[in-house]
Amino acid sequence: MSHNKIKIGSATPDQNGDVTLNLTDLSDVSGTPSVDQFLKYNGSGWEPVPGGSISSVEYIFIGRGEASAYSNSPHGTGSFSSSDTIYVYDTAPSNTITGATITKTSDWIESITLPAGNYAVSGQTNLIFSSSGYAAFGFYDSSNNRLSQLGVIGENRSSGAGGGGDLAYSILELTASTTIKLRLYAISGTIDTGSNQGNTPSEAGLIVIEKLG
Amino acid sequence: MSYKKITVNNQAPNTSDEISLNLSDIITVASPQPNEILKKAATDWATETPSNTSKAVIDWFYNEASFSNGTYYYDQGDYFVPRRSSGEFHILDNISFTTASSSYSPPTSSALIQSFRFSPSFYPSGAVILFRAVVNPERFSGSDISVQWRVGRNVTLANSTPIGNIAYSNTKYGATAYGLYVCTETAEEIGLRVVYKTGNMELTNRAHARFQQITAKRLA
Repeated sequence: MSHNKIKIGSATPDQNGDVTLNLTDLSDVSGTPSVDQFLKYNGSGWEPVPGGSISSVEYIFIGRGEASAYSNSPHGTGSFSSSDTIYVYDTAPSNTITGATITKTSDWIESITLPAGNYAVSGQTNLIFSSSGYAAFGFYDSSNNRLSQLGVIGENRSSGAGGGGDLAYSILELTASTTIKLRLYAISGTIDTGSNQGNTPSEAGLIVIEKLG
Repeated sequence: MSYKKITVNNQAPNTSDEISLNLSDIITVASPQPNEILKKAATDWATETPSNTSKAVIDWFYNEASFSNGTYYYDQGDYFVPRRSSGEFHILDNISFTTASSSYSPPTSSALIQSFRFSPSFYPSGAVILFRAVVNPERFSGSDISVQWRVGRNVTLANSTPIGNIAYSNTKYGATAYGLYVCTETAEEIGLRVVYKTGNMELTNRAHARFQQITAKRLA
């Protein structure tokens, strides 16, 4: 008869009857942690994860340079006016922000609804002009209140914006669920019609949103 | 006499003389939720939600070092090749790189980088990297360049995979190229490629290097 048959977790006694129990002998711990790793609960047990993987930022990423004629967007084939929505094309937008939704038509993103919180938003586009000018744009809410600073494009952008940047970027502090969209603020000269924009807006269009703490 | 009276942290053996232990049989772990991590508290252990901060993994900074790139022009399909030999990439967090060495690099040079590699040892499958770049090559009159972050090593533009918008720039435009890369189980290579161009652009020189931005951060 042996008294050493007992097993604790997955550890068994040595010839002296001593049991050396390691973390990995426990029933609900999987894997072997390495230096600088953490234990993370996965819903049923604990698993080691690298330090870099324990923090994460919720984000939305729209715009991978895919080609689609802008006339396919809800804008259609017509001309542009100074308060038009700017549509951004993406057949597989990424959205990890809990509670956020993306509204789109035929893969053209029209708006994004964000839950209350703080967000860093980046927006960008490119448009073809039929006469020299500029187009300024930024993020707006559904009541057409401007929420962000503006980006501006066009050969004559210095005349309207003093030479600002191509990227609309701001931090939004939303106290309630808010629907935002990329929209023109002002234009000068003539932006070519939707028919003549070709793939330029779809390839250049971009919206990146990072949720902040 | 019974040999089964033994208990370990109040857990008794089963009929096979096995005592199954969970972490909570050894330390106090109150109601952990998925994705929470273990943290030592004053007396017991606690769980907490990981912070939602991103981590810097790449940053390029022109440190005023004197250099000459020679005269090399970008072609469509080329890697955009920032300098690296004077510590310009002052942040490269466990990221290896391939120096300019392919037919898609304007010159072959160990002083320039064509692409980055994310080892699964440090960036496991599912890790998310957000790239960002504003390029500033030497621009000749009437020239423009459009760049895009793409996955693929020494392959044609058509055989590489775009991961972000196409960023156009000339002397009056300066768009930002973003790229979202989700790490896989293999160490793929990510580089900035010249998708379109008009006219001639040379490698970024010293004066213009101060206005060039290349960064990446880990989101998840």
